[in-house]
Amino acid sequence: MNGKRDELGPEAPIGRSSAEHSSQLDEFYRRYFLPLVRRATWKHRLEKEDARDVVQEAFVVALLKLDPNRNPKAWLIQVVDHLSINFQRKVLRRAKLVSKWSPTEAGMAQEIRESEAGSVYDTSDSHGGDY
Amino acid sequence: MGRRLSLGPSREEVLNQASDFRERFRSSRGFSISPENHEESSEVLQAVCALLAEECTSRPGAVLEEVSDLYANLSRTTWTSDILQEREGVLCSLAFLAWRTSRVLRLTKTAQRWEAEYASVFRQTLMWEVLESVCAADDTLDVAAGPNAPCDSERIFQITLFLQDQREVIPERTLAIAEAFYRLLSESELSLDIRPFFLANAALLAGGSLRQIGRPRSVERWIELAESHLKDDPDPTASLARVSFLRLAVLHEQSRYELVTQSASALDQTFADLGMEEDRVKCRILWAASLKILGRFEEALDVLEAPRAWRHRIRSGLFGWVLLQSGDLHQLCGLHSLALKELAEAERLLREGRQLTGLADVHSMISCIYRSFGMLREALHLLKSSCYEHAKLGLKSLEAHNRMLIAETYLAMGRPHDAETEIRAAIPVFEDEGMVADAVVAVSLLREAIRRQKLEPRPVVDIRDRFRPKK
Repeated sequence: MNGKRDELGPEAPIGRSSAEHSSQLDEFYRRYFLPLVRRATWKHRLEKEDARDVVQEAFVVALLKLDPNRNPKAWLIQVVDHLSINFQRKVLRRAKLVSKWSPTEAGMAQEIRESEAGSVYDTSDSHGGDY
Repeated sequence: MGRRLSLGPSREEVLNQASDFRERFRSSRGFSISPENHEESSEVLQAVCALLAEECTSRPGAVLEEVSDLYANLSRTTWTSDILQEREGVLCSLAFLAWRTSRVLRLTKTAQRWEAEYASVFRQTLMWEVLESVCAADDTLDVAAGPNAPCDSERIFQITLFLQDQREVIPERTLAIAEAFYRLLSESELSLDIRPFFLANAALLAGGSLRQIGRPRSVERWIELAESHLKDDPDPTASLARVSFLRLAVLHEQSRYELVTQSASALDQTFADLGMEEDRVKCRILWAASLKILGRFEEALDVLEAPRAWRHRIRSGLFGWVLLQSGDLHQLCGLHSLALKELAEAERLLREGRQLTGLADVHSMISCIYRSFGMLREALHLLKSSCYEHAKLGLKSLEAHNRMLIAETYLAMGRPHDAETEIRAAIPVFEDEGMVADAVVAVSLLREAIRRQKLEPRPVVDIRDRFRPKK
C-alpha cells in the first residue's frame, strides 16, 4: 500500500475479518467520516444528508486520485471544501434558474431584471472534478 | 448490503442544542468536555460559532465577550483522537469572531491581539497545508472567493494571513496570487464591515510582493488602492500603519535611507501602541537595514536590541531575519566570529520557517566575511549561489546587488572582464526601477573594470591569441 495512504491510520478497514472489519469501519467512520460531515455542515452550511453525499464523493475521489506526496488528511479536507463549495454554487445557480423561470410574479420580475443585466445561466463549472 | 451509518442529530436539532449550550454557558461561564468523547461537543461548538457569526455585526459587544470566554475555556481542554483538528478549527472560528467584533467596536488593539492569536493557531493546522496546495493551483482561489462563491469570510481571512507569510517564501508567485485575489474580492459580496479590510490587505499584499521582487516603482498604485479602500473601513488604523510600513520599505529600496531612519521611530511607536508585535519587528529590521547602509552600525545594533530580547515571543522564521541583520552588522564591525555564529543560527531558523528570500541573503552576507579574510574563491562561490537563489525567486534588485558584489570580487581577483559582464547585467535593473544610488555605484565599478582591462590586457585574449592557428 502507498505510504501516505497508510497515514490515514491502521483504522483504515482493509483486509480484516468480518467482525474486525466492522469495528474498524465504525472507528474509521467516527474518526474521519463524521468530522468531515460536520465540517461540510457547519463550515459550508450544508444539510447533513448533502454533507454526507459530499464526503462520500470526496472518499471516492481519494480512492482514485489521492496524491501520494501530500498529507492525506489535508488533502481530504481540501477535497471536501472544494466539493462543498461547488455544491453550494449549484444550489445557488438552481435557485436563480427556478426564480427566473417559475411562473410567479416574483419570478417574472426577476426575469426582467436579469434580462436587463445579462443572463444568469452560467454553464461553466470549471472546478468540478479537477483533482 | 451496506449499513446505513448514523449522521447524528439534524442541523436544526444541533442548532437547538447550541442555543441551550449558550444559555448554560452564559449562566455558568464554563463548560467541560470529555477528552475522549468530544464529537458531540465539537458539533455543538461549531453550531455555536455559526450562531455567533450571524450576530457579530448586530450585537458585537456581547458576541466579543462570549467568544472570548468560550475561547479561554476551550483552549484549556485537550481532545484525544481529534485527527482532523476540529478543536483547532473551533478555536480559529472563535478567534476570527473575536477579531471581527473587535474591529466593529473599533477596539484596534484587541483586534490585533486576536489576529495574532488566530495566526498562531492557524499556522499549526491542516488548513495551512490545504492553503499551500490551493495556492499552488490558483484556480481554486476562485472557488473560495470568486463570483457566485458563497463568501466565507474566515476562509478569506485565512488566505490573507497565509499570503502575508508566503511573500518571503515564493514572492513572485505570491504577487500573481495576490493580484488574482484582489480581483476576485472586488467581485465578491462580502459584509461591509470586512470588505474594505480584505480589499486593502489584498492590495497591500500585491504591493508588498512587488517591492519584494524589486519593482518598487509599481508599488504606489497598490498603495493608493489600499488607502482608498481603507476610507470605508470601520477600523483602518492597523492597516494604515501597514501602508506606512510599505511606503518606508519602498523608500529603502529607492536608497532613501535617511528618510527611512527619520520616520521609522514614529512607526515603531505606532506598532507598539497597537500591540502589533510582528509588524514592529519587521519595522525595526528595516530601520536597522537603513542605518547599516548609512554606516551607523552602533545605532542599527541598538535598534535590533529589543527584537533580540523578544526571541521567545516571535516566530522563529522572523527571528531568523533579526539575526540575519545582526550578523551582517557584526561582520561590518569586524566581529567575524560572532557574525558567523549569528548567521549560521539565522540560516537554521530561516530554513525552518521556509523564509527562502532570507536564506538567499545569508549566503551573500557570509561571503562578505570570506572576502574580508581574503578567501575570494569561497566568497565568489557563495555569491554566485546567492545570486542564483535570488534569480530563482524572481528578486531582481537583490540579484542585481549580488552581481555588483560578484563584480567587486572579480576585480579583487584580477578578472576585470568578468566584472564588466556582471555589472552590465545589473545596470538595466537599476535603471528600470529608478535605483539611482545603485546605478551610480554600478557605473563607477564599470569604469574601474574597463580601466583595468586597458591597463592589463585580458589574459583570455592573450591565451586566445597564443592558441590561434597560424596561417
